[in-house]
Amino acid sequence: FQVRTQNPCGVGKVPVCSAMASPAVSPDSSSHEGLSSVNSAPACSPTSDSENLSPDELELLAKLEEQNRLLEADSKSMRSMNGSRRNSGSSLVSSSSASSNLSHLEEDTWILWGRIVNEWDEWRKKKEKLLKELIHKGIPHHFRAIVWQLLCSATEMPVKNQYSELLKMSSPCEKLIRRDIARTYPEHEFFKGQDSLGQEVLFNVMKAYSLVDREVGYCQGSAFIVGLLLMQMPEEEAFCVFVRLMQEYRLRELFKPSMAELGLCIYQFEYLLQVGTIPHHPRMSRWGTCFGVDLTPRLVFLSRFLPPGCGWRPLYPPPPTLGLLWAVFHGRCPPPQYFQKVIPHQFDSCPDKLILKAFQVKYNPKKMKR
Amino acid sequence: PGAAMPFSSSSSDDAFDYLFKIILIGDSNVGKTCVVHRFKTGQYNEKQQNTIGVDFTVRSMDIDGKKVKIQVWDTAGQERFRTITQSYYRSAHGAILAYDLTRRSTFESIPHWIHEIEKYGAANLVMMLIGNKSDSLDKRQVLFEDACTLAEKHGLLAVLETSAKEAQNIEEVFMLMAKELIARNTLQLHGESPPNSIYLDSRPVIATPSVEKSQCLC
Repeated sequence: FQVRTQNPCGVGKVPVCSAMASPAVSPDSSSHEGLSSVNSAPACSPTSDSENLSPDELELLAKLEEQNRLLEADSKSMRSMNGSRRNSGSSLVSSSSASSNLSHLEEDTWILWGRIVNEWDEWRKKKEKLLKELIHKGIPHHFRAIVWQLLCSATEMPVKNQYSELLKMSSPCEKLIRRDIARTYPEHEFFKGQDSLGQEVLFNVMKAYSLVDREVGYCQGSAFIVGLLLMQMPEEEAFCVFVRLMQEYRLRELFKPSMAELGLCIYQFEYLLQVGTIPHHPRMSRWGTCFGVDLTPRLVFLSRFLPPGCGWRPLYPPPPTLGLLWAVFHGRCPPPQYFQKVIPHQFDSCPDKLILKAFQVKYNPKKMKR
Repeated sequence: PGAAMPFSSSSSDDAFDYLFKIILIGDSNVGKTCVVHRFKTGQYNEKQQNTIGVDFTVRSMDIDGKKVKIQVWDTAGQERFRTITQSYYRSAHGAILAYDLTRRSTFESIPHWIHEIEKYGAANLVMMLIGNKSDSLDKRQVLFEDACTLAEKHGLLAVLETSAKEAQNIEEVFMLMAKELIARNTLQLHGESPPNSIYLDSRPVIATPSVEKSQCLC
C-alpha cells in the first residue's frame, strides 16, 4: 500500500492518498441510508486502553475527541462518498475537495489514519485495542475503503484478477439479479436511474459473485450489502470485500438456500426478547422477525465495529442487528418501514448513544446457540 | 432522544371488533409491497425496496359498523425465504396470493404457493388471488379467465386484478377478505357449520360495475 501523507502541514491540500482509485469526494453529497452511521464520529471519551499509548498518541486521541465534538456540531460533517469508479487500479489519487475548511484536528486525524494504514500490520499486532477504539469512533471517510479492505484482508485476493473474466461470463442468476437492482437503495443518488453507474456496477458485482459461489448464487438482501460497499469503493474492490465477508466472515451462511443461520438469528432475537434484554412490548416479538432478517444493518454495524483480526467468526453469536439496537435504545420497536427511512436519519443525530447502548446489551452466549 | 414516534399507538387505537392476520405471498417483484403500501397509505411508491424476510402493516377498516383491524404480513418473494416465511402461515386467517399479470411465470408459480399454504397454513385459511399491474394491460400475459379457472380449481375465495399504481381494486381486495372472514367468524361463533365447509355458504356478493370485469367470485 502506498498510502502516504503528503504535505501534512499544508492548509490547502488534503493529506490523503490511497492505493486505490479513491472515489471522487463530493463534499455536498448528503449522507444516505445507513451510511450515516459510519460517517459520524461519536463523542465518548476514551476509557480503556490508555496503558499502551504513547504521550503522542494520547494527545492525538484527545484532539480527536475535540474534533468529534466539532464534527457533531457541524452538520456538513455528515458526508458520504457515493462515487465509484469502474477503472480502479490507478494509485495515489488525492482528493482535493473539502480542503479549504480543513481544521488542524481533521488534519491530525488524517495523519493518524495515514500512519495506521501505512503501518497496518504493526498496528494490528501491537496496538489492537487502540485501533479498535479508533474504529469504533468512526473511520474518516477517505480512509474507509482501504481500512475495510485491510480489516478483512481483502487487499490481495487472487479472485480480483478473475473479476473481469467473470463479467464476460453469463450467470443463471442474471434475471433474478436484474429484478432487484432498481430496488436496491432506490432513493440513493448513486443508484438512482436505470442507466446509472451505481446500478451497473451493482449488477456486475452480484453477477460475479453468483459465479464464484454457485450454492448461494444470488440471494435477496445481499445486494444491499454490496451497495454499501460500492458507495465506498470501486467495483473490483467491493467484490473482493464481499467475497471475504461471505466466505471468511460467515455471511454466506445467512444466504444459503436453507437459511439455517438466519433462523438462528431470529431465534437469538426472540430469546433476547424473552429474557427481557429488550423492554417488552406486546407486539415486539413480531417485529423481531423483521429485524432478524434485515441483513443490511449488519454491515453498517460491521463496518464500524469489526474488531481488528476477528470479525464475526470469534464473535459468537454475531453482533446484534441494528433493529435490535434501535429497540433497545428506544425501548420499543419501530415498524419495519421505519428501518429504511427513519432510522438512518436518526443516526445522524444520535448514533453514539445507540451504539453505546448496543454494547451494553448483556446476554448469555450459551443460550444463543440454540 | 428527540425522535418523534408517530407510530406509537394510543389506547383507543387498540379497540377493535375483529383482528385478522393476512399473509401476502407470491413471486419476487409482482408488487406485493406496493399493494400493501397503497392499502396502508393510499399512495404509490415507485421506488420500493425489495422486501427481505417479512414486513408487517396494520390498518383499521370500518365494515358494517364493526371496527376491523387488518394485519398484513408482507413477505419476500425469493424461493429461499420460504423457510422463514412459512412460520407465519400458521397464524394467518387469510392469504392473498399475488402474481404479475404481465409476467406469465409468476402466475405459473401460484399452484406452488397454494401448495405451501395448504401444507403450512391452518385448514380453514381463506385464500384469494390477485393479478397485479392491471395498469399495464398492453403487456398482459395472463388472461383473467385463466386466473378464474385456477381459483375455482383450488377453491379460492376470489380473483381480482389490481393496480397498486393506479389504486384499482386494492381496497376491494382487503374489504372482500375481511368480509369473508367476518362471515366465517360469525358462522363459527354460532356453530352453524364445521370450519372446513364454511366457505360454501358464505360467499360475499359484491358486484361493483366498475370492477366487474376484473373481479371474479368463485
